[in-house]
Formats: sequence, structure tokens, C-alpha cells
Amino acid sequence: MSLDRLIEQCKANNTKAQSELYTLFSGTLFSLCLKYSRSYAEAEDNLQDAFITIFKKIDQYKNKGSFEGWLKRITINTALQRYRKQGGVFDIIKEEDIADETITEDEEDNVSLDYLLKIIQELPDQYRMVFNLYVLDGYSHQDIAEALKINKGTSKSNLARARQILRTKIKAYKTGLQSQSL
Amino acid sequence: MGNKKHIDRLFQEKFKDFEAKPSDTVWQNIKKELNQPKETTKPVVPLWSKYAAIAAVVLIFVTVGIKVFTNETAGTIINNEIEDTTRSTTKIDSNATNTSSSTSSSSVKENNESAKNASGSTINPLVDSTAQPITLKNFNVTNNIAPKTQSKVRDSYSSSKENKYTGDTSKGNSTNRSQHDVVANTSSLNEETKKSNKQASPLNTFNKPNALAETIATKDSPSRLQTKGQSVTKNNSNNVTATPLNKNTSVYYKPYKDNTLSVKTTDDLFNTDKKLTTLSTNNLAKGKTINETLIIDSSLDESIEDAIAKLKKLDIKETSSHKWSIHANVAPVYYSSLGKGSSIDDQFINNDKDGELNMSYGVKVGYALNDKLKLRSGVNALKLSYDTAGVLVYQSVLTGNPDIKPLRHINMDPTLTGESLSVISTENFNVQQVNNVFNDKFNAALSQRMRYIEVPLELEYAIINERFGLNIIGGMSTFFLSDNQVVTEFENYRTKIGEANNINDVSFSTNLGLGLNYNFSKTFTFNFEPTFKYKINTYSESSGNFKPYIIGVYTGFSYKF
Repeated sequence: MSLDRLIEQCKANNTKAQSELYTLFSGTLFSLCLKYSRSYAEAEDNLQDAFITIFKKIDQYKNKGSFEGWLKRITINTALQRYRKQGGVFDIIKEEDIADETITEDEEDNVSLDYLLKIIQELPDQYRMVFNLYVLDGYSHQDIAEALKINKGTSKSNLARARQILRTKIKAYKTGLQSQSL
Repeated sequence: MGNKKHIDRLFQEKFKDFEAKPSDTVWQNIKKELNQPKETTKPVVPLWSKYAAIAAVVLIFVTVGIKVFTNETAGTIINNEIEDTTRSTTKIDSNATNTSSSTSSSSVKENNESAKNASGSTINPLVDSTAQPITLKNFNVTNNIAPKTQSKVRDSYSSSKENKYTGDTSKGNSTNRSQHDVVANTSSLNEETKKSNKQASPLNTFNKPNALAETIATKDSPSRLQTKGQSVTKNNSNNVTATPLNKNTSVYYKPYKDNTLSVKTTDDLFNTDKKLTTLSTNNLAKGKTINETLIIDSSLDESIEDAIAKLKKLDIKETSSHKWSIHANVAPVYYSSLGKGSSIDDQFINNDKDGELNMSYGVKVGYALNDKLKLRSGVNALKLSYDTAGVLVYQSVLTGNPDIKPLRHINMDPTLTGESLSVISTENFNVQQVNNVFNDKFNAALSQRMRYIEVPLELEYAIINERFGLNIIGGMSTFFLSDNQVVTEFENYRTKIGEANNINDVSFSTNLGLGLNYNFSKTFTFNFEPTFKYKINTYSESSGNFKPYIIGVYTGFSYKF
């Protein structure tokens, strides 16, 4: 079945089509949710909410632009909304002199995807959102500022802080591995 | 830089083809939600019904008012209390919010009762959930629990939600069997309550707001994982262990690696249950994608998150159903001026002036834009008066006296002008003259009186939104002049001498107030609002620096619907 036809059937509330669409995209969207959430469970909730929104609003999709992009936007929005609802207090850190965010090749070799995901999830909410939006999903600071209702400077400094935290944790991970192997 | 890599690149590369498979429960939940859209969508309320509701509420107010004045308040108060209790029940057990309020408390009791019977042990039938360690429940759940069993388990949990379970290590495996029996019993006994449970089941997990707060706190706490790690006993044999924590705990279990279970105390109950099999199968299916610890840890989060999300949805629904409110208020209002000046004539600029207390009363309609902001408007009738002391009123004998000029801002009453009435300020005489010619008895006051219809448009921002509420109110009012006169007051005699010619028919004010509320119930509120209104263009012209303001303490009741 072509995607277009599948979408049409989803618009007609066809349960089978909905199931198929879910099977088709849940993997991609769930990985997105995992990045934006604090935990696996929150990610599942997020996915659930996102898909409900998707199915309820699918008739608003007018075949303009990529369908997957549309799905991703809804999913990310759901995550951001959740974060907004939960609120959170974040210290606003001035742009500091932060060491260049590079790590040596061998440092990254051992780092597993699971660990990277874990440390992303451990980031404070706003840092996580900014880092994901900017680094992994290609949003600009301007977009982020609008989406999170913060100013551009905050977005930039949040990103810098997020990178710093992640880098520290990757280093710690490596040291941990070494001491384990000894 | 050759062997160095930017941290962004590392993440981008690793996450490029990242895909993860969510558990099957997610799809089940989605399907469930999609299949019952009629229940979730809010019925469309026709516009006229809102007006009808307003009219009805006005009627209620009148009735209540009459009752209050005829000293028959008892009935009303009792009603409020009943409503109140219902609300607190709602808080304790969110079940009540989904079912109709009249039956909610009874269904709670029913649930409680049946749970008690079913387990056949010492369940304490407390409707409020003051953490009582009650029954012992141990579970031996393996990977191959049939879905049917699961749903039964779930039902039994939701029905016995009022009770708190504490696991007990000492009893061990021996009770596993009996637990299953209990489960079966409960579900069969609960045929009636099932319906309501089904509706409310996602909410049952939280017995009271505190529990929710606690859960959130736990969830947010950075040390969460650590704590969890401590309380979950890692078992490699097929044992069931329970770690009783403190009050507010219930049994909680999670699959651990080789089909081993750990029992953990937590607020949440059935959601975890629901996940049991799926999680275990996940462990097998997912393989490398997500490490196991992550899955296990998240089983806790999921259930909590799930419930929170649902509770939040409910909250939103709850507030949105009470968007409109109607207020009735009465206020003593004090009218005075900030600057030195006179609204009557130049000669009175330095006279002593006094604002007077008058009454304002009216009704307002409020519309809640969101949880914090409320827009409100209405109609108030108010009377203002303002006295200028040290005035001499007399009939002039010498009509040609150049010292005596007509008052600048007053049109004298035509019926009086024939008597060539004059008003002058005693401030203009020197002390000797006053003492000699006029003694104090002649010292009259000139009182300016106005009646207005006030139409306020105000925004109310809630700072505290609990049983006691605190708001900041800001906005503006439009005043329509309905009556205007100037009278002289002399030894209790009042004579109308004319009316002011400088008062604008329409004037405005900027308002700033502080609102204190007390919520008797979800819908009925007592309001106390000291408000300052700075009037902007009351007078088309005035003498000196006359800047009138109004201070009113608006007191009344409001009803939300």
C-alpha cells in the first residue's frame, strides 16, 4: 500500500491503516521521543500522545512537505509541550568561556549509543530540549527561542552547558571503563 | 584536530540511524484512546445556554440573598458543605471526578467494601487514604501471564485502590497462590463497580494530591535512579522480595533479568502491572537497542508518567468546565482627591475638603482565559460625594457687589437664582472678618454629589489559587454620569443649589486592586477586593490640581459555572 493511500485511509479512521502507519513510523518517532524525554517511560507516553495527536489531526496534513517531517514535528511538539507543562526552573548561565567541545577519537570509540542516550536523558529539561533541537534535529537558535519561549542567548548558553555536561560524562565513562578493565 | 572530533558530530553520527521499538502497550493505549473519542470530546454547549446559565445564577443569587436576609442560611450552608465534601472526596480519589458527583462517594465506598471482602483480610475501610499498612500481597508473576489474568489483576487493584499495601518479606512465596485467588475473587465480586472503575481507572493510582506531589518529587529528584537502585533488591534466584518503605506505599514489582521479580514499594499499582508481560517480552525483543536496566527503570516512570498525564488531562477538563463566573458585590466607596484643588470654583482651592463614604453595588461576569488569568466585566451603580468645607452661603443683598461672582463650575439652580443666592469661601476673608462678621454657625459645606453607572473591564491574575486565593486585579472602568448635583449642608439642612457644569458625561478610571478569595466549594467563592481607582477625565475643567480617586472595598460572592 502506498503511503498516500495509507494516509487517506487513516483520515477515514480506518483502524487497520492506523495500525500500519504506527508500525511504519513508531520506530523513528520513538527514537525521537527517547531523546527528548527523561526516561524510557516518558518517551513511551510521549509517543502515545504524539500518535493520538497525529491520528486526530491527520486530515490537516495536506500532502505538503514530507509526511515523516510532519510526524516528527508533531512528536517534537508533544515533547516540548510536556516539558512546558512540567515547567522547570533553570539557572540562566551566562555564556562562559567553555573549552572547545571536542573529544579525542579514541574517547568516543567505546561510548555506546545507550550511554549517549542515557546522558542526554539525564540533562536538565531545557538543556536537553535545546541540545536535541539544535544538534540532532537541525533547528536554529531562532527556532528554538521561539519554540521554548526563551531568548536566543539563553538557547546558546544552554547548548554550551549541555555540551559541557555531556563531554564531562563521556570522559567519566571512559575513565570508568578503564578502571573496570584494570 | 585530526584525531579530534566535535561532540556534536559524535552524537549526530551515533544517532543517525537510531531507531527504537516502543512496547506494545503504547499501541494498545493509542487504540483505546482512538476508539472512544466521543467520551473524550467535550460536548458543544450552545451559546444561548450560557446566557440562560447566567440568568439562572442571578436568580440563585436573589434567592440566596433573600434567604440570608430572612436568616434562613442553614440550608444553603449545609448545601455548600455537601458540595465541599464531594470536592474533597474528589481530591482523595479522582474516581469521583469521572463519575457523577452524587454517586461518586458511594461508589468509593462500594469499592472499598468489595476490596475488603475479596481479600478477606484486614483491610481498613478508610475512605481517606491515611496510609495504613493493610494487607500483605505478594506476587509471583512470570513472563507468561495471560492477558486475561492481567486485566483481572488490574481490576482488583483499581477496586481496592483506597487501601495501601505493604509487602512483607517474611511471608515469602507461600502467599503467591492466595494472591491469585484474591485477584480472581475481587474481580468477580466487583462486577458492579467495574464500570466506574473502568472509566476512572487511570486515575485510581493516586489517592490524594500529596501522593501525586510525592511522585513527581521522586520523579524529578536527580537521585531517583540511585534510590531506586537501593530499594530494588536484585535477585538472581526465583524469589520474591518486598521492601516496605514508609507510609503511602503499595506493592510494586518489576521484572528483573532472568524472570526474577522484585517487589518494591511505590505509590503506583496497576499501571506497572499492565506493563509486566510487555516489558518482559521487550527484554527479549529489544535486545541490544536499549539496555535492560533502562527498560526496568522506566517501567516505574511509565506508570507514574501515565497517571500524571491523565490526571493533568483531567485537571484541564475540570478547569475548562468552569470558565465562566458571576460575581455580585457591594462596596463602600470613598471619593477623594490626590491634589489640592476644587472642582467647584477657584476660591475653594485651599478649603478643607472631605471625601465621603458611599455605596457601590453591582454584578460582574468573569471569563477564565486560563488557570491564572480571568477577564471580567459588569455593571456597578455607585454614588460619590465630596464636601468642601468653609463655605458661606447667603442671599446677596447687594446684587452689584463686584466681589461676588457666580461659581465658575456650577450652574445655579434656576429656582434659586431669583433669590440671588451666593456662595463664597470663608478662606477668602481674613481672620478678623470671619470672627467679627460671621461666626462658625454660618460655616456651611458644599457637597458635590454624583451618581454613576460604572462598567469595569478588568483582568484578574491569580497569585495563589488554593482554597484561599490571592489575585491582582488591573483594568479600567468607564463611568456614565446619571445624576449630578451640588448641595449645601448647613446644620443638617440640605439645599440643592445647582449642578456642576464641568462633569463629563463619560469618564474613565484606571483600576488596581488586590483580591482575596475564599472558596467555599469548587464553584462558590467569597471575594474581598480592596481596589483603587484613579479617575482620569471626570471633569472637563477644574480649579487647581484636582485629581479625584475612588477607593472601594468590594465584597461579595461569585459563582463559577
